[in-house]
Amino acid sequence: MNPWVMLAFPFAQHAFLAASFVAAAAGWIGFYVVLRGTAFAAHALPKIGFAGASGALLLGVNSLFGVSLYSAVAALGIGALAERDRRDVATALVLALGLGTGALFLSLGNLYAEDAMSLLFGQVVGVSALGVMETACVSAAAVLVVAAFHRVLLFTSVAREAAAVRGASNRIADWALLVGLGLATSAMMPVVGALLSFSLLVGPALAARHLVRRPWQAILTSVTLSLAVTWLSLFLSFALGWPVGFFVACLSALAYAIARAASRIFDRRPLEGMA
Amino acid sequence: MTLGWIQEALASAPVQHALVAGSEIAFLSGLVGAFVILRGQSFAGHVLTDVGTTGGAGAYLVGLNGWFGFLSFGVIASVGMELAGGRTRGERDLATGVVLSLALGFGALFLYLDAQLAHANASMAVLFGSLFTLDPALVPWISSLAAVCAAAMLLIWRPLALASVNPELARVRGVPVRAMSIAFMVVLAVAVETDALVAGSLLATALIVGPAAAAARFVSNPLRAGVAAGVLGAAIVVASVLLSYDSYNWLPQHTSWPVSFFVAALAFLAYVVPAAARRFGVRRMAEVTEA
Repeated sequence: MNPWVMLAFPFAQHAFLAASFVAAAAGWIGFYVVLRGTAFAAHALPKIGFAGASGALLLGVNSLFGVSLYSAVAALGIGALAERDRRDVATALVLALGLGTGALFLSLGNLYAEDAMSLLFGQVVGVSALGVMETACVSAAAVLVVAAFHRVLLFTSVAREAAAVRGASNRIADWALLVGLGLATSAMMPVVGALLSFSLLVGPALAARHLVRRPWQAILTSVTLSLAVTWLSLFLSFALGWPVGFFVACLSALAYAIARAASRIFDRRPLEGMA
Repeated sequence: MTLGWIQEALASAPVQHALVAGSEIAFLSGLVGAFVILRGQSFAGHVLTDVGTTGGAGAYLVGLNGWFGFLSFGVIASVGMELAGGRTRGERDLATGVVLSLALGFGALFLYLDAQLAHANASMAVLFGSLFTLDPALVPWISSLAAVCAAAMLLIWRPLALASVNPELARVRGVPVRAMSIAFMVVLAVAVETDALVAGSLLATALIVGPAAAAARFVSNPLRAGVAAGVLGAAIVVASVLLSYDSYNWLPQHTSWPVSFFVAALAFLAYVVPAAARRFGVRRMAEVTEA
């Protein structure tokens, strides 16, 4: 179908609006994810959110509520377990438990194939006007959390020892990022789906890191790229009828590949001249 | 309460196949898992499951058994990840992440096309496991592959442990560190991708990391930790299969609870309960000494 024609319909407009809020939040938070190298947590939280959404479907409550609750508990769980054990082990275990309960909810609710697919890969055309409002609020909250801790997040990532001496706690930074990620996940899940939220978090931000040096420039570039990737993906998805997530993943990877090649050609090194 | 249902379960052929294949692969997973934890490769292990999703979904699309898709994609990805490398763990994780998201994108497309072409159950089998519908012809293949991989691990565990903990020292001692990590990644891929049959590609990580993390709390020698984790993993799978079989009668609407749920829940319990018990025990001891 012609995507320009589709844009006249309210459902397509809602989809574009919701996806834009989500993309901006993902690009912003992705900057910190890349800076701190917490790819695993960024990958795990959306998947756990999927379990929360299937639980909400089973009980018949708002899926945003289920995703938020599950992401929040998972973020706290990962944070708490990581204080006693290795972070990646803690993340893997919480992820497995979350997904296990998700599988149970799906089978108990007889929600198989179709519902699971839309949760995993996004159901962007199903967003209502109220859904757009919810998405906007949660995305804004996610950005506010990380923005409030911007200096701590930056300082503890770039110069951990110096930050410790000056009293900036790495633990607080970790928690802030996990909470921000959890919130962003709740906003992203219904739109791009659990499996591909991760692409949007990491791809544009990694690309931005190869293109510019200063933190604020990197955040702006990352947000811009993320928006561009999302809009183009929605457009292609409307035109071809294939899942949005597929295009999001391919275009994010493409953005990263191009940025990396460009930084090679112009011989710029990521974020090293900054400190 | 009688235990007649266990006999009844054991008499059924799909349950027998599930128990045999599942416990063997769980043993291998525990063994490999101990080294995954030692080497800090939980994320790599998890990535392999996601890449496997793409392979499994692709295999259904062209009409092959999902296992071949899981396995081929997993092995290729594992070698690729090892060769791509990276200077620090964070950077390696991020580079891995981009490849992963690309693979997931294609997985999404394949699953979508699977659903369009009326293999509606294929996507659920790929994502959530298909232990009870295992093709009996595959059981001997899975068994022998698991046995070969376990034997290989037992053969190389000592130099592998050294190369994992202290690569420089290993190199001085003449251990081929690079070849060692590639070999390990291939074995990891076999274990992870066959777990995907048991618990689904979403949950294969549970069997790798869960039992091994639990064992690592009590045993420090990597081989002993691996064997303990393997036995624990096999026990978890056996219990999960039986519980899933019995769960049909638990709720009035008669739905079997998925094997993957029990695997994940038991693996998590195996990790958390000993830790909690130990902490509680230590506190009690401290109170006694103070008194």
